[in-house]
Amino acid sequence: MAFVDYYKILGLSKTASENDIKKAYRKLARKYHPDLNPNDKNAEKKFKEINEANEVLSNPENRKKYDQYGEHWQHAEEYEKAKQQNQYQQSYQGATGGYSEEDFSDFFENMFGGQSSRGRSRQVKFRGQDFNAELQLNLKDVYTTHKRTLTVNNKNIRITIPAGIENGQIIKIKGHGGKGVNGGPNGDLLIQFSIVNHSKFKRDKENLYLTVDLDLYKALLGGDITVDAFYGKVKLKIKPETQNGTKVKLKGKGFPKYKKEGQFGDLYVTYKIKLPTKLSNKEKELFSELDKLR
Amino acid sequence: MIMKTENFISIQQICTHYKIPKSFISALHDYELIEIFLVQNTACIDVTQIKNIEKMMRLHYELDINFEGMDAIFNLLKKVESLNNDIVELYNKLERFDS
Repeated sequence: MAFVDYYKILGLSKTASENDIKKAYRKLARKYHPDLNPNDKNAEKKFKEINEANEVLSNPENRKKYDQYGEHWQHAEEYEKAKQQNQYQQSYQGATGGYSEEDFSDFFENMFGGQSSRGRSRQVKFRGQDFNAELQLNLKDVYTTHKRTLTVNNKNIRITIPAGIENGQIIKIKGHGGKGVNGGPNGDLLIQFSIVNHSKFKRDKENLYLTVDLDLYKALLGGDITVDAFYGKVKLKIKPETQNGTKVKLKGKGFPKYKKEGQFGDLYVTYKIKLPTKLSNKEKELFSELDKLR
Repeated sequence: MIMKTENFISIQQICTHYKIPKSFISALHDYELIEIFLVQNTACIDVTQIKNIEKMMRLHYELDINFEGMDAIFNLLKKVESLNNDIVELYNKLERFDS
């Protein structure tokens, strides 16, 4: 367990006054507070450090202990008994929201004990805090509506993932966040989806895009080809003299529309004409003849 | 519009619960940061606003931000949210052009 320099975290010297600590904490908290930096994990981490430093340094007793033992804090066990619960009250003692009280460092827990020994006596919250989670799925997984069981804080939650959910989309599972206190409602669970696409299809909302190689002769003379749709195969008619980059739309062969059961986007197929290589002498001759004809 | 009383909580209850002065709620209303409803002659707020009120309490009491500042912050946070949504949408579109 590494020593944590609380003064350094708040950018203060050891001689800082109570007022200096308060000012430094507020200044940094205004920069990194989770309410001002939603979904920013780095800011959240930084804020936890600042908060922890403030919890210790703003409490004269804890500060004294910290100053006295500092790097040798591991020998401070005898001080445990002497620990007094701070009775400091303030008119607003409220929700911490956005950051978890459980996230104090091991260093803090070892030196100052658990929550009960912290300077501030936290009081009731009306509503539990929101939990944020990320769920990574493959594009194939979100082609169909399916159920999945997630484990959040050791609790299993079964959720329905609607087909067509977008990469980066957040869904709210009401009441599965932090527990509310005094009969207040629980917070919500916010799940952000990260959709990984390993397929050959590109996706833009409900539309899919696919590039298909077409040989020169089929492009010139026309014919039939079979292409892969996201599920199954589709037979396509190639018109004679099809140009490179020609795009065709296959209606309803795209991705499911989010929360619109049975509706699908379109599949756009772009033809990429492949020119033959390693021509034989005979082929070269024939191409020369064609060239003369043009 | 039919208002269900269970969706409202009296300002008195909020203030007692959070130990905040009524003037705080009143100032939030003055700055149009929350809406106050009169339900059976009692000043109430919609429960869906509680989350925002808690946030404003933290900004005000923990970070010393005044009401003008909170107004500006809430507007900017809305913009940040909208920009973030745009970024995700554009990122998803951009993936189409990545080889």
